[in-house]
Amino acid sequence: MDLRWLRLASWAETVSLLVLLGNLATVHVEQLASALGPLHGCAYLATIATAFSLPLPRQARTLTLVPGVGGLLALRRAAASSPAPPR
Amino acid sequence: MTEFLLSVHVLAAIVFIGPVTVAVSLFPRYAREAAGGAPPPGALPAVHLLHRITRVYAVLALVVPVFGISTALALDVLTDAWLLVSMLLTALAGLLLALVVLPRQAAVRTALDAGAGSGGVDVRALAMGAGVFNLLWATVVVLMIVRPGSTTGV
Repeated sequence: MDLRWLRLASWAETVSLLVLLGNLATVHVEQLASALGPLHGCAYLATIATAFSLPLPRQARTLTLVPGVGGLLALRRAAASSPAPPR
Repeated sequence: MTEFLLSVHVLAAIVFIGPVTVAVSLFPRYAREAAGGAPPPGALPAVHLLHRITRVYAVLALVVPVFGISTALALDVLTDAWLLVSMLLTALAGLLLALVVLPRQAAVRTALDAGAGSGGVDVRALAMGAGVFNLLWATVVVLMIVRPGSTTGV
């Protein structure tokens, strides 16, 4: 397992939340909300689970607990603390 | 919408948790073979693959409780006793997988990679953890089907 999966889960977490909020603020389609809500929940949990199974600094792992943007914050922290240049 | 949530929940349970139950019970057997005196050539790659399946599918399996809770909310049965017991057992199974089975699998895999013989690898606790995990999971499935005390019918 590598950082790719964490990146995928983090983006899914943030994008699904943005779509949910956008839906709530505009058309508010109930079906979209009840389909995307659980999906966002899954992405949130998957981000945390993936981060804790990767060799990341402890601060980066803890950051994934932040709702909505935790995964992206953790990726930023991990990139800042590792000497390797981002791909 | 309830039908959609329930379909995702059941499909994910079959597709994501099924492989985990098989992988955790096969892992000790192949680990024992790989640690034996004359290990068959396929044993060590099998250990790697089974560990990978367990790890990846355990994360994917998070879909099951999330969509399960959504379904229960849509059906307004979240506080039924059979469901509360199921959720407790699921939580126990998840903790067992995350805190006992996966770390021990990783330790066994590392030891085997380093060339440990039969003395350096103990898979008894791992086999027991796998057995308990599968038992918990089977109990939850039966609870989901029987739903004792439910008035909605099967």
